[in-house]
Amino acid sequence: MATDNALPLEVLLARLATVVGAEHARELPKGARYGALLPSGLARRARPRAVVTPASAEQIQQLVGLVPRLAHEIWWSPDASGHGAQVGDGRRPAVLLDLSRLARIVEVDRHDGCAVLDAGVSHTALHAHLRERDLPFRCETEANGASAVLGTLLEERWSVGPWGEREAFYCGFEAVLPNGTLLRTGMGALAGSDTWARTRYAYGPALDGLCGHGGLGIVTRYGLWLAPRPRQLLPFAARLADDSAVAQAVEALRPLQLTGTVPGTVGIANERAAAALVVAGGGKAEASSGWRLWGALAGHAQRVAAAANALRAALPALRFGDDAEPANDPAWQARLRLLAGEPLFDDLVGERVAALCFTAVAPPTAVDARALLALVGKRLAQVEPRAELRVGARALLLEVTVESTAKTLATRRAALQSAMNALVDAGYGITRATPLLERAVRMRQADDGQRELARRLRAALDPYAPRRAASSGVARRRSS
Amino acid sequence: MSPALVKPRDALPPARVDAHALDAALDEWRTVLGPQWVLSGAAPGLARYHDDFALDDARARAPRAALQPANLKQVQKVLEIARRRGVPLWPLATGRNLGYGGAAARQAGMVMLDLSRMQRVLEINETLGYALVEPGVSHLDLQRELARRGSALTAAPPAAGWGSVLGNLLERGHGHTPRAEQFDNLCGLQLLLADGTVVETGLGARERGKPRALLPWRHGLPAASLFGQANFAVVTRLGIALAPRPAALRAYRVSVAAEDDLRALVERLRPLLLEGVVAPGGAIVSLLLDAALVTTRRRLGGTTGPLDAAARARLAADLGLGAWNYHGAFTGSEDSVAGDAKVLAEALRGLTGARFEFEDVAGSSPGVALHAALARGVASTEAHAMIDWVGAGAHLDLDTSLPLRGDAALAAFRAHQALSEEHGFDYLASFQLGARDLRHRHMLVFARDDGHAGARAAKLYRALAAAAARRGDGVLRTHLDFMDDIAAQYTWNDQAWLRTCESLKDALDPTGLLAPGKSGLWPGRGGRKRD
Repeated sequence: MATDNALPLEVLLARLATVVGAEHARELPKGARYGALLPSGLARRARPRAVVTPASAEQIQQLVGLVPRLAHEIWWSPDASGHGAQVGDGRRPAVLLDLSRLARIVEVDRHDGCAVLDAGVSHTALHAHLRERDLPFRCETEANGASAVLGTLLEERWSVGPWGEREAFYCGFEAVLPNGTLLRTGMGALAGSDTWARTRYAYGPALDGLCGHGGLGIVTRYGLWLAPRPRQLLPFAARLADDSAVAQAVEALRPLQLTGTVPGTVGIANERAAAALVVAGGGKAEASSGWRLWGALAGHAQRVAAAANALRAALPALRFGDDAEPANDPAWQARLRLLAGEPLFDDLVGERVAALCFTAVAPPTAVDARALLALVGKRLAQVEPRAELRVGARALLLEVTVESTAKTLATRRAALQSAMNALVDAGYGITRATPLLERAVRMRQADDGQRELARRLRAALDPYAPRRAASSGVARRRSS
Repeated sequence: MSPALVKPRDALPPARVDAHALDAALDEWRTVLGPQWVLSGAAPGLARYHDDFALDDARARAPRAALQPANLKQVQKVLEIARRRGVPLWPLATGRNLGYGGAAARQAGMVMLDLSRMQRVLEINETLGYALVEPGVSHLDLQRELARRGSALTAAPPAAGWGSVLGNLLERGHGHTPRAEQFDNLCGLQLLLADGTVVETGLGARERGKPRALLPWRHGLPAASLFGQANFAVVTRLGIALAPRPAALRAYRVSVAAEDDLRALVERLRPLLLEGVVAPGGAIVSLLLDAALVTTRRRLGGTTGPLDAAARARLAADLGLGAWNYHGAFTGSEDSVAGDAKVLAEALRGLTGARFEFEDVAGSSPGVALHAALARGVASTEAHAMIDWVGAGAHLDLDTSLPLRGDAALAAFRAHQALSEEHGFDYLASFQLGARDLRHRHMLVFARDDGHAGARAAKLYRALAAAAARRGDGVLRTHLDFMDDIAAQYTWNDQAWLRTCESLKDALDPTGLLAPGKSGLWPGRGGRKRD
């Protein structure tokens, strides 16, 4: 077991406290946060032993030097409110860096909507900042406003609507590398530049890729492009009876999205996912079957009208605006708020039950949509998955979430692993997964060349990198 | 750490290559590629590898040899021999990056790895909107292939379409369509590391992977971002996103009369850019850059120095140009385009002297037809005419980025114009709209037949780049001669970016086999060029 020969906890905490102070270095809480609902044996092995909440990039620089010397891995999370923070992969004892104290909204430019944010800024905080100052911009949100904006960005989770492809809106990272270097990517590397959050690619190699899924940088600050509040926002929706109707909708949407007629993403959620949103927001959901399609158009009146006409022609089942769904439908009300950029709730404790999740990526075609749903449906029929498709111009994402209790964790984890393996074997990609699931699938879907590249990048920047190629690429990782 | 040591180009020594090792390597390369694809000694084809627009004697940077492999396997064998014999290589796609060094290497005596024979368009996916191309495919080639197949897709070519699609994207060139940021169109790379390892980024990493060029580089495993403007690997294949032709496209021009109106024009365009009414890729072009398409400095007579304000005003009136001319295009449906035009007209109301005209009205005016074609994704070579402004022309380009603000644009313009005139140059430039910034592209046009003009252009370039850095306007790409200087400008946190790049270089290419000095990145072995 990973912790058997580890440093005594009190010694570990004392050493960590020398950097962040005793009140910010503590044993992992026993509460629901950080995954306490997991079975005790698994939790002990998989959960970080300690959590530290640094207040600055400088403290993080000190920690990346200290923690490996204490024979612990570093896990980090912008806020530790998401699924990923709940479990590690259990190979070595770990310390979790919770960046939620880095919560400063450094700047939101009133003229161009370019923002500079600290890693721990939550959706709720950003939303409130824009509203209180009457800034004419909006930010894509998550249902749980307590989650960090950076977390959803780095996890490449798409929201729904004209600005749904989130990763297209970040601009520049500040990150602590494993060797302790504080790096700014893009124009941040030019001292005194006013374009760090405005010009994504500066001179020479772009190092942004080290920070996201590359897992080689602990992001402390970043630039984000906010969207202007649109002149018009026209929501649309449709009910789709079955997987076949979903596939047809994906096929109908693609040409409109590729031409930019319908920018951003369209969501298609199964009823379980729709209901979960309502329950999570404190409401009561009705049970039904089928799928719900939803999205929005934005812009001036003529552009919105033209796009709506094109959508009507492609998908006659669509309804718009006030006719889209019954006004008293709680699931629709929740989605309208999300489309407007409003979080539904604000809960730092996070999910009351452990959740396992992954995101698969496929071409946005009917054939692939049908194949994705069949591969997943067959393997997860017994575990009540929440499934949401995000349809973009060049990709189709399938987000799957399965709730788990301590009793059901093993079987549900196996079911998800089986579904992910089947997707990978069929040629689809997995872009995100709960850490319990991630390592195996990452190894399964990368080839020798990519693994070798990952090993060398890590060797270049991480003085504590494992030397064996087979162990490379995931020794330290980010979670959110 | 002390600041980077800036060495003028002519201080760089020739590449250190053991003569016996090179001879032995050449023999092996001839066996692998065939003797006709290995150029050395007095081979006439070797003269092609130079900078067409060299700032001094192009011969001073002559290579020792050039290798022309035809496929990935041959490139792997070439690298294996180079590695074993200790001979560094300078990879080239087509060598048409004019204004930035063309087909030359940083140092004399280099062996050029010319990939222009790898010129297959491997796939065009009409359904998902992408192409897979080899390094030697130019924008004109791709355009011809799209036309041959009757494709509905278009690329976003730069003003001159003869360059490599792959090279232009990796060097972070800009197009003129709404997908103008070429690097954002990157959908997967095939890379060859110096040790021979082949790496497919993104979904290409799996044999059974669905379309390789499915996702932009930012999504999923992110290694691709490292290889732009870099010397970490040889890139042997590119996936690039293409866009379908829109149902409606109307190109237009907005011109303003006074130079100071640049500030107001940027301020009026900014909210429309954020809103999507005007698209990234449109460019605010200076009077003389548009005028240079149809006339020359000599034809205008007078003194040989820069045109004064009165002469510029006369020229503007004669050609129907403004002091600044914004070339853009609305795309979408007929209805949405009509709505966009209405919104832009409303935004320009009250801007004295502003003219907003569609191409059917302004089409004969300089630059309008060219920009309309580029907005449609049509590659051409017409833009090249502007370099003849001062006779047998050449150009040296300075690309900087600045905030999308009128005052920032005006300050940059004023500074560049003053320095240009001080050095005896006219100011020919444009401000291209990025997603959230302005790209100031200043073309230093000089006469190739004037023996000192290149050196004067270099002097002006250094002055402009230094002033830009003081304003916080970062250089986005640069000519071979200035790569160390520009890398040295990125000084935040004791040059953390440069130090990290050097660590990556040492990890991926420890012996410095590939393009030593590219972007200011030198291999560690044998000592870096900076302390």
